[in-house]
Amino acid sequence: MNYPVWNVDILGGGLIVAIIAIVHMLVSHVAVGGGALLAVAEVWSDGQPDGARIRTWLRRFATWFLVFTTVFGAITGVGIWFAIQLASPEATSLLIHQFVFAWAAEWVMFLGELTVLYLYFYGWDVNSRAMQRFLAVAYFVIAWLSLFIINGILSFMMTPGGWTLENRDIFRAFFNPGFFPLLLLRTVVMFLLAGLFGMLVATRVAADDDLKEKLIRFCAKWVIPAAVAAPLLAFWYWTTLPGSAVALALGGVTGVAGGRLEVVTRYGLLAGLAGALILVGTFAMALRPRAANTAPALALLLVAQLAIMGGEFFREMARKPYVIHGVLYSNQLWKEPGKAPARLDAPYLDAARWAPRLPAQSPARGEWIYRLQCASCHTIDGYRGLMKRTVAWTPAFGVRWLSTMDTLKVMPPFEGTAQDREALAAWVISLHGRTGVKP
Amino acid sequence: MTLLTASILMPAGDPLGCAVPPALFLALSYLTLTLHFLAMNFTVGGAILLIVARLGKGRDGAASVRFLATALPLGFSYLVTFGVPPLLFVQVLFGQLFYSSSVLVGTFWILVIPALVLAYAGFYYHKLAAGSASRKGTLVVLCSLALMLFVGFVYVNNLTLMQTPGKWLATYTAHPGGATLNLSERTLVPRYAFFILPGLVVAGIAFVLRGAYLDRWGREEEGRASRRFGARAMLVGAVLAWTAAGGLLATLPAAIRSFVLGGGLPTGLAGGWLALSLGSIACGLAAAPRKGLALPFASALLWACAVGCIVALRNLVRLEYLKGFFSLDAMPVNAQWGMFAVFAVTLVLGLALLVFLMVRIFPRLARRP
Amino acid sequence: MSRFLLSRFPVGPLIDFMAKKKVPEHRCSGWYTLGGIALVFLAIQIFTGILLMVYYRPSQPWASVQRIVVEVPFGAFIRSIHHWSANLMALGLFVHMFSTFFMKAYRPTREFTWLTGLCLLGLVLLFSFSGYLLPWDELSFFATRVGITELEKAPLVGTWTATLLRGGPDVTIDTIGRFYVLHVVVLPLTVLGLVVVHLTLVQLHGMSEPDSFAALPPERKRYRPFFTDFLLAEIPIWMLVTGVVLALAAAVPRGLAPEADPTAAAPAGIKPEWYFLAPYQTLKLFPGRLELLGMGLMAAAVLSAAVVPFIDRVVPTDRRGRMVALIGAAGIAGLAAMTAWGGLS
Repeated sequence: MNYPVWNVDILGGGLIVAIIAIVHMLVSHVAVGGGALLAVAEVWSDGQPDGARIRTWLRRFATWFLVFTTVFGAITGVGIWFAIQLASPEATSLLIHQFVFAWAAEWVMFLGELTVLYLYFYGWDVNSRAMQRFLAVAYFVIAWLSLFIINGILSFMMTPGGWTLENRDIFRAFFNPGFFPLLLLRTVVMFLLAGLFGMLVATRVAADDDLKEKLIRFCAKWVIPAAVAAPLLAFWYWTTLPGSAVALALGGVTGVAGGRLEVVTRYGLLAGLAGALILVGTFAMALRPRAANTAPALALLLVAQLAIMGGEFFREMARKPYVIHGVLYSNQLWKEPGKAPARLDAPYLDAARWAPRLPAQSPARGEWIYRLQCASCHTIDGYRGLMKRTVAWTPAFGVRWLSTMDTLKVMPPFEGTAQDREALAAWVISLHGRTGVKP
Repeated sequence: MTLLTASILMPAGDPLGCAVPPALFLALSYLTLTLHFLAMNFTVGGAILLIVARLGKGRDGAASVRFLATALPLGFSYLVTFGVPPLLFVQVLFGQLFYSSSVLVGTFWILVIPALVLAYAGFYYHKLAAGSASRKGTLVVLCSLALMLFVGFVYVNNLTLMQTPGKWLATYTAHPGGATLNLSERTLVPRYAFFILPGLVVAGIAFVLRGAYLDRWGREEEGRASRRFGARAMLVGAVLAWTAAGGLLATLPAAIRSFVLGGGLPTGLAGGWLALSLGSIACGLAAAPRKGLALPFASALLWACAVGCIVALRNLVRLEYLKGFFSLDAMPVNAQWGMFAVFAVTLVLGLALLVFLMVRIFPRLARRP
Repeated sequence: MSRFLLSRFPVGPLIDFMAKKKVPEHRCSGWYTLGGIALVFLAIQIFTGILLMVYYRPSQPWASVQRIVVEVPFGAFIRSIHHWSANLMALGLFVHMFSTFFMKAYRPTREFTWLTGLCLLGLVLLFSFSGYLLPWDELSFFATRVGITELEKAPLVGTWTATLLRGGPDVTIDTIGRFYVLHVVVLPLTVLGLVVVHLTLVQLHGMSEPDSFAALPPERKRYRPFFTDFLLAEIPIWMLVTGVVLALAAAVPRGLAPEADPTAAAPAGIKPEWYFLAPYQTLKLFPGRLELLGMGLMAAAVLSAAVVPFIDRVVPTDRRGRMVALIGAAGIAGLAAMTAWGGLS
């Protein structure tokens, strides 16, 4: 263990990352898709008899869009970075060092995105129509390129492809097997989200029913095809997933025939079903746009948030036990040394940094092993709580379980000696107010 | 626990090493960090001036409020954006130090994010929803300012802790979970003051510049008021900054102080900062009663250079602090020149587009009342 | 085509009947969606309940539920949805009841809409109570036993009702038979019948208008037709509540405790579900012989909810009406406080 472990009671560091990521995923996709919607609406409005009125809506859209994407999008993006630094410094370090110039190029996109958006928005009254159209298109292109770059890094975490720590082949790392399906899936999803966001703004224009009808139907045309295409692209992505992830999703942890539904499967279902709910809801809106008001439009955006929650947890769980598939475990231990029996059986705390040098028999050893090997994912009695999972533990069972937990396919192998396992099991059992020793 | 030593704590460097020689990353981070400090200073100082302008009465005040209401969200946006590259490069170069200290103050470090969201949202709320005379608007700006000051404080804590690995042990022993700050650091308060207080100078320069342009557009009375307001803020900010600099020097450990004052590059940078900042203030004060763009621009440029000196000095001091724990020379370089080229081309193209657009649009945009 | 269908299925009058109702638009219009949301939960319950019935065996309750959770494809997910939807339905109905209460929608001529609604809430709680036992695990068994024992202490009818429910002096596998039939036949039929009555009454009376809205001059009153405007605008909201149920089922699946062992001691910390916490905690305040008093108080509370429409009758609200609202507010505060207390203790 290279780094100290950040301790968040009840919630756990992983959940903090997840919460920020789920919000960011919605906003950032609205930010890209909304750019496309701006660009298309700019061109579309020119051909409409009531183009000027459409542009009043567009200005409203741009105002909300600007505040929403710069305040929540930009800051939560930085927020994910902060959170992963704390929750998985080792993985963050790897991603930073391998992709440093991809991140730097991504930053150029941010700078471009923001500046173009500001020129578009603040220049509303002074720019020519042609300039506004150009800016809207430029914004979308730059924003989509930022998606292109980040997608290479995110898909790398699930399917590093031909990349290894030794070859450091950035081309294969970036254009990994998951890159294109995920890029298309994200592109489609961002159109969907842009449509939902556009409908929300359309319901706020109020008063003028004709305009509202026109705008909502325009936006629905972004949502419905995307909602139909997304599951197909998701299936393509599914075919690129590592075999272990597919087996986990289909078979569940216990591998019982028919499949105990593991968390990865449940979240996959949530993502898919929420997509269907969006489709139904959008049809209802498009059927009678005049009746639409803010609450239903907001409701659909929230359903999208739930779908994203499903998708994000799916991605996290399908990657288990790794944070970078096949390379680095979720608890910040590398796979390679982990494979070596010598390392697996060495006294864990002697090799670890950020751990006190305790005498061999010290009962505190168990707690420190928990802190350094388990606490990246588990809390004591909150999110993924230890207490709930170990109610039935006896010392013998605990030790046996720790020796074989990696065969569950969601947890990394235990690093340490038999004494380390005994110490950890004894500490866990002591949490339940029992002693680790048989009476 | 007593058997722990700092050398046991120091994490191993990333196996991937550095993608180009460290000097190149340092150069990039000097440039972007200077811009970050300028934008940060403008936003913090601007928020203070906004409160001053809102509390004061009169027509000039109302115009200043309108100017800042639009400018501060933009300043905030760029302060975050220009903060990203230095944060990236510090992780490339000093990863094992930075991640460790961040985790040690982890609970406060993550609170930076909600604080930023709220502060930023506050500035937009002020611009879009709060009436110019409402007390609520003042209160919202005050909250945003307080949140920004909190963020800066957490940064100073983390970055001072990062360069003193000798203190990690005690911090980690007392708070293994991350719910602590580096409050025992002697330089903490002067350093914080030294980086925050120039906010008034930068926001002041912005007002002087604004005044010069207002003159050009024939709004002479407003222009004069703006220049005067700006020059006063500059003077106050600079006096505070010089005081803070003295305080910072006084609290530095003796070895570091003699490193800074002992001649060579560090002393040159420190002296350069003092000279440039004096020059900048002089130009700003001289611009207050006069028309013309030369003095305000000179003032801005000199101040930017002064900040550049401090950014470079700050890094030298950090390396000096870390002597014996860490050295950039020991970092393996696994060159990624191809990727560097991709980035460089992206940067050039991106900047070219932005410059082209700014030149076309900005003059018309700024001229609007 | 449409003419062909319409002549075979002459639904015109039905549509007219639905379209006739107008939903007033005002600050509190949002509360009007709650009844529809409760219906969505009911639909989810019926759908998932039927699926669960396919594999549930009242003769081997715990084993069959375990099979649903471990073996049956999607079984655990469906069961979790059923669980969460039940909880949210109870919550939604409480909110629905209190919103109608504070908007004073119970006043003449809508007394019977209120009463049928109140009955429906009671039936839904009974639904939850009966369904809770069916998995026959430690938690459900002991919670049910405690619940019925409390009921047994009621004067006059207590013993008789408790024995009837349990099918004997204690909760046994026979009780499952009774609860199962109650849960899948008796209650669904009753609830569906009552829902039809409740909705027909709502439709016939039209939406009640809060005082502030009714006092507006006619030209400032804004309405939306229930069919199709209001109904269609509700569909996305229904999608959202469905999504919330799915998300909860995915994130917090319903677990299955070890099989109940009636001879064992009750595990520590057995508590009823949250919607029964308030009466449970209240009864704890009245130990021993005072318990009757506690029960009397609760009966009085229910009774007074039932008679409210006959006490508070005047439009616009008079002093007595304001008094009733105050008492209601006290009631909601008491309910929340007792629930929180029960949950924390």
